[in-house]
Amino acid sequence: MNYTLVIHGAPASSQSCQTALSFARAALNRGHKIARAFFFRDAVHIGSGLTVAPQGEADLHKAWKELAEEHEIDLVICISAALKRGLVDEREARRYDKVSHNIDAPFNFSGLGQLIDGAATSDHVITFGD
Amino acid sequence: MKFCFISSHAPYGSTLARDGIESLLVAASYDMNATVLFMGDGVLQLVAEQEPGELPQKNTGAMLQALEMYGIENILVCREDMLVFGLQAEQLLLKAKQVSRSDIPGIIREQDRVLNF
Repeated sequence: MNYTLVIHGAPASSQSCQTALSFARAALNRGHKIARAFFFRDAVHIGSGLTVAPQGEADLHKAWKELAEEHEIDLVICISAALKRGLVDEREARRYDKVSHNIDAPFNFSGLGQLIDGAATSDHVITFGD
Repeated sequence: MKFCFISSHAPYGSTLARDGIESLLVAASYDMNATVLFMGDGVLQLVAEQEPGELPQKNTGAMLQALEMYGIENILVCREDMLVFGLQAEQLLLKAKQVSRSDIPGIIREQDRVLNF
């Protein structure tokens, strides 16, 4: 089976990103495919390359990045949710004249169309709320 | 493809309601056969004459009035949850089909995809 995951909760203050990660690992271990993870609402913070995980706590940014690179998961950061939270990639930083950017590959910016497209083209869509 | 959006949060305490409506409109613009179900606190999104301008926030009720223009006709609301808030059909900002809580599992089963907000 092919899955699209929709994730709502912030990595630092909700269990959402971790639960989705654990689900993704379990599904992959059983031979399923995770086509796309769509990070929406506060979950867009997962894309920031500037977060520092406290010692002894999981580095969810790194964990998602490594899982995506190993299993070719399309990691989509909702662009409108990201911009209003101060998360920008290089292109948007240039467009809005910001001093820096914090989103890099394999995380990529896109819109809600990718949420609907992912849900429609996968066998299943699962939402991990706040 | 049948897409169901389950909206179960009140309109202005968080952006969940608005994020759900925006996703619903995108699904409709992708030609999906979209259904929206308001249940729990989500029924409050349907109250007529909302005035969130002072908050200040976008009026999600006004966004819902665009559903018809997007061709979204399957607008469902949980009857028991309307009763919880003392809401009558004539107090709603649009014509929604009232469904009983016991109908909801069957409604979900008919869908190809379900998204929660």
